[in-house]
Amino acid sequence: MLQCMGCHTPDGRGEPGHVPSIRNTLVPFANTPEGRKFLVQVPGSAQSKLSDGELADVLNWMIDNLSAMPKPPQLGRFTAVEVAAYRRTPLVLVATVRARLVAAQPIPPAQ
Amino acid sequence: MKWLDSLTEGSARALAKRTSRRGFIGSLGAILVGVSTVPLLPVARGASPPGTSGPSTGKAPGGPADDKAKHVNDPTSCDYWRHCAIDGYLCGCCGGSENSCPPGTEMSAITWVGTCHNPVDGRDYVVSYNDCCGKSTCGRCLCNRNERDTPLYVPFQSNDYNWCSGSGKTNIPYHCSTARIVSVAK
Amino acid sequence: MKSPRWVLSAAVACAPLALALLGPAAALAALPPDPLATVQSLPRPASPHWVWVNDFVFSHMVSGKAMLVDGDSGRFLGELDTGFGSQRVVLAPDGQVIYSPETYFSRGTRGVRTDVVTLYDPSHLSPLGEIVIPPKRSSNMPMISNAQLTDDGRFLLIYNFTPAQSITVVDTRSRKFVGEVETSGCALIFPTGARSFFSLCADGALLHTVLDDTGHASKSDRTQPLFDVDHDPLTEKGVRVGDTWYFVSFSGMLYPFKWEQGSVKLLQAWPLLSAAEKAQSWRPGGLQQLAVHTGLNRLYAIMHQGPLETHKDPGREVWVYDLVRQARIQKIAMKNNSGSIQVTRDSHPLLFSIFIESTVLDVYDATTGNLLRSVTDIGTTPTVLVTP
Repeated sequence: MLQCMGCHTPDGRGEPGHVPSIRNTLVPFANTPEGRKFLVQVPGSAQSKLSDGELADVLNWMIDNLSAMPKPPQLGRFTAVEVAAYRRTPLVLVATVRARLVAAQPIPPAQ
Repeated sequence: MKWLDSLTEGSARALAKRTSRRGFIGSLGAILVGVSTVPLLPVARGASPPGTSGPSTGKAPGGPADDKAKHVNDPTSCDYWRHCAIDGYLCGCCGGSENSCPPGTEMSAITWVGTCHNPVDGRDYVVSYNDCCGKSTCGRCLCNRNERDTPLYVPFQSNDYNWCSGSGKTNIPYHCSTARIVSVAK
Repeated sequence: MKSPRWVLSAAVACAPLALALLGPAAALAALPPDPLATVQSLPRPASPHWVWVNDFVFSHMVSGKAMLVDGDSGRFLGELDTGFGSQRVVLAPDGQVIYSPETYFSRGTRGVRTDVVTLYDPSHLSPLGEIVIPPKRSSNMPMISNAQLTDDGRFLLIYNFTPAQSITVVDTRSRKFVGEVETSGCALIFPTGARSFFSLCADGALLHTVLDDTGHASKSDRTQPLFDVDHDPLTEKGVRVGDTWYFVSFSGMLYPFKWEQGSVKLLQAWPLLSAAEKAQSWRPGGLQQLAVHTGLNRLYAIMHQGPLETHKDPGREVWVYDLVRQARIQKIAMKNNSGSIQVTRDSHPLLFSIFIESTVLDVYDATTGNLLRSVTDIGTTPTVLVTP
């Protein structure tokens, strides 16, 4: 929370025009391999001081608590192993990749 | 606003208010929900010589050690317990308060956060230093209690950014800083 | 205009003597009227001993400015008004134009935000034109690395923070905004070679970007972490000698990053302080705390004594190092607190020093360390120094 809420705000809704809401994208992103990779590789995740296991816990907590939509029952939990696999490649082109993910599947409006 | 830590009231006070904080940069990675570690920020306060601060001088009051008890619960004092990591003008001296903005300004949603110890109830609280934006700098009660600062390339702990950068329509004109309680630090 | 009474009295008193010496027809000739609208202009090229003092005027950030001072005469030569929260002017290497990334609001501190790069005439210190850029320019404590030209002078690069991080690219030839380069997780701009630069990343890595002829990123490489962000981070205030950038860490280690064949490598870091000096709590600090003289291969570093985390505190000493021998060769005592320094690049260099809480610019001989002159009333909260 300390590291994330400063920009993403405590409930994840962000600031329009500055920080996108994560509330409407957590579940859609976590539902695709590319999206899961993105959630781990964004600098805020990848460069955080959390261990792979802690980061997996945080991502799972966010999906359970910050998502504006219910989690589908088949949505896999993040594990330390999965996080470790993605995390070693930091993502620089965040806006570019995010735009592609948002275009690739229907995303409900931010709330 | 957590970025102008070089505007200090004098080298004696500046030296007094610095303590060794290196260990906390690592421990701040711990999250507060679902993880057991608690980053506790000691609240060692520097004391300014009497007469060098106060609302009339434009500097936040902070007296010698024996006055600290008086000031630690005064929201317009630099020694106020919530101000353990603040850096900017105190909104309480500018028409707002420790948790509200002066009239006609906008509170920035993006901000710097820290953890401060409340001596009254003995708890540690997560404090968010939301800036109030959209007007020229207030100029009253400058308080710099910067600790654990990181360079600009580590933004979430950098006090050198103008955190009014994310303030919606008012944008970057920085006016003053609040110290909002977000939660108890578990 | 009537003469003041004392002049008339003096004239009357001296009149007999004057008449005796000069004869009856002589009297002091009246001064001719001054022509209206005489405006100074500056010679070109700029003297290497001139310095631009940038000031973001923290108390009234809408009035940012850059002030030009002649280090040799101590004369204030003129200024540019550079808008809200300005950081630095950028001088074209051919001396024909000055670039200034600026921010304006349509009603001062409110209204519509517009960011521009204003082009200024270096002789007349007045605008030639402006280039509109995305209103995302980072607002932060001024750093030299907030805005830089590529080595070939073609592209002007400006660091953005919204808080998303990117770099605006402006083509100085066409005088147009060409695009943004995303640099998520990394900040600021350190040019390396004709059309490339690196940024510092939050995990201690460097992101190296190469631009093509259109100003778009053709190549982008991220190193592994090269320094320990958690325990001894580098300050952002790098300085450069040729193909090597030098950064000092919070504890006083000097990190040289050399680029060759399109990539950046870390050479061996070395300490600026002895163990004894560290034990006495000496450490580097300041806002623009390092300077170099390329010809002499010298590094200048502001030093102070203080506890940990005083890495932005000013100092009363500047320590000078031979970069080849990796040894300190001199200590210069500063008359006043020093927070920002700059050294001119000519063969008789000056050392400029200023501090954000003071308005006095001190000018030293960079070789002997002698204070040559002090220039007063320089700005409000002066920040970084730029020399030709």
